[in-house]
Amino acid sequence: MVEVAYFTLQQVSTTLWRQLLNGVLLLPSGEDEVMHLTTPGDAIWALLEEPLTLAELAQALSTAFNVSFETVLADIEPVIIELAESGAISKTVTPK
Amino acid sequence: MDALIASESAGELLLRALAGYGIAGNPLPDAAPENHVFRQMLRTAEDERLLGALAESVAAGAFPLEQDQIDVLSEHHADWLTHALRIERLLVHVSDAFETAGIDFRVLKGVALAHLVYPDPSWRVYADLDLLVRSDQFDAAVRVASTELGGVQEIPELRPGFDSEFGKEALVRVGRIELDLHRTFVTGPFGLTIDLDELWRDATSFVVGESKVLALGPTGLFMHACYNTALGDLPMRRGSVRDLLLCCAHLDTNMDAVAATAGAWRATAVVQRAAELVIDSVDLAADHPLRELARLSVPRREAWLLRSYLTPSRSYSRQLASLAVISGVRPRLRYVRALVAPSGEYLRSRGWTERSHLRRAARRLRGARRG
Repeated sequence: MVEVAYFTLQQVSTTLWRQLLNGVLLLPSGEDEVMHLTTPGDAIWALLEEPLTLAELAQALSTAFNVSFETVLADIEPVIIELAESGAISKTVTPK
Repeated sequence: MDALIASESAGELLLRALAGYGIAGNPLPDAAPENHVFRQMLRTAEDERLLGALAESVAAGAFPLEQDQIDVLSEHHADWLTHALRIERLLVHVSDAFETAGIDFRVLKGVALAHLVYPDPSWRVYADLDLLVRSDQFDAAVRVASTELGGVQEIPELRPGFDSEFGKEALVRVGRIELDLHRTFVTGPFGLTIDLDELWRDATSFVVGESKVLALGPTGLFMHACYNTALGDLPMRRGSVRDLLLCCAHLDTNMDAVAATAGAWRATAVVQRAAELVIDSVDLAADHPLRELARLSVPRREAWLLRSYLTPSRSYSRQLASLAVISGVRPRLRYVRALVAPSGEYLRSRGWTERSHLRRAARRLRGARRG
């Protein structure tokens, strides 16, 4: 379970990426495999060009796709974990 | 048969529209093609390196496709871009290794153009990594690519020292990726008349991941796009038409400066042919700058040299035509010696013997004279 408020997420600048018609391809530094984040998951990548907390990210997606905050949060959590574990995005503790 | 002709003609129209997409006046189809036509279009777009332009036009809603066609296109596009990312990963590694070894380089062709003149690098696909290195660092660059990056030069140079004096490039395979280390733009006489020092006087830059890398300056990029269009592939790939059009649109290049550079490099024939090929390929505005270049007057000697690139036996005719531009008796002798008597290592790498090499060359050249 990712804690909603206490992490700031952001693209890692060494991650190589390309926009597709149906998502985005990511090649994090140190990874051999290219990740394919399909639409609408690519919106996560686009939004994380700027640092956002998980709550801010979920709120932005909730507004963009007109889906409840809780549903978005549940949907993106595994994606965020995968992106962070691969090193595609950074996950830093937000000062309280 | 009618369906085949219709499909080929639709394919040709689409290629013209894609080559000039967003720049020239060739219209894209306003309805989704039938599936067999679409499959043909897709194959051709890949062969012609216009898959990115096809994806770009679909993403912009300028070319309507059925959803299942979009899915197929997306798969092919993703395959090419996966390869592009691996190439860029290699570029980051090469950049680090060359910097450590003190080797200067400039990124050429697909990777550079994708970042510098295309609206988004996703709209330009490419198959390999092309870098320009200085003649006096050429051998060191090949060595570093082999020792530091695990690269393998499958075809060695004709004779030791040939590549750094006369060669166009060394092909080094690093894993699944081909790293082309260029000393000049093209094989043959037009590659030997380029002022290589001038290529290093100016640069543009772009960022890959966190690495800032250098490409040629605007005039160098433009000139290289002309060489690729005019002399790169026979028949020319339409992707090179798009490259040149985008160079024209996005680089701050003055056509008088291009014409002057072409004159100094004895490459007016190259620039004029490139402009003519683009004009024949797409509908350009009457005042498009490339029309100026197409009107350049080509010296007779250059027209003769150009012909050596346009025959089926060009792998030999270009080499012979090079003799016309190599200065000095000793360099010419070194050049001829390498052509006539390549090293044993080179011949073995190609599965040839000295006799079979000479027979093959003689046969090709006889064919060229008849042709």
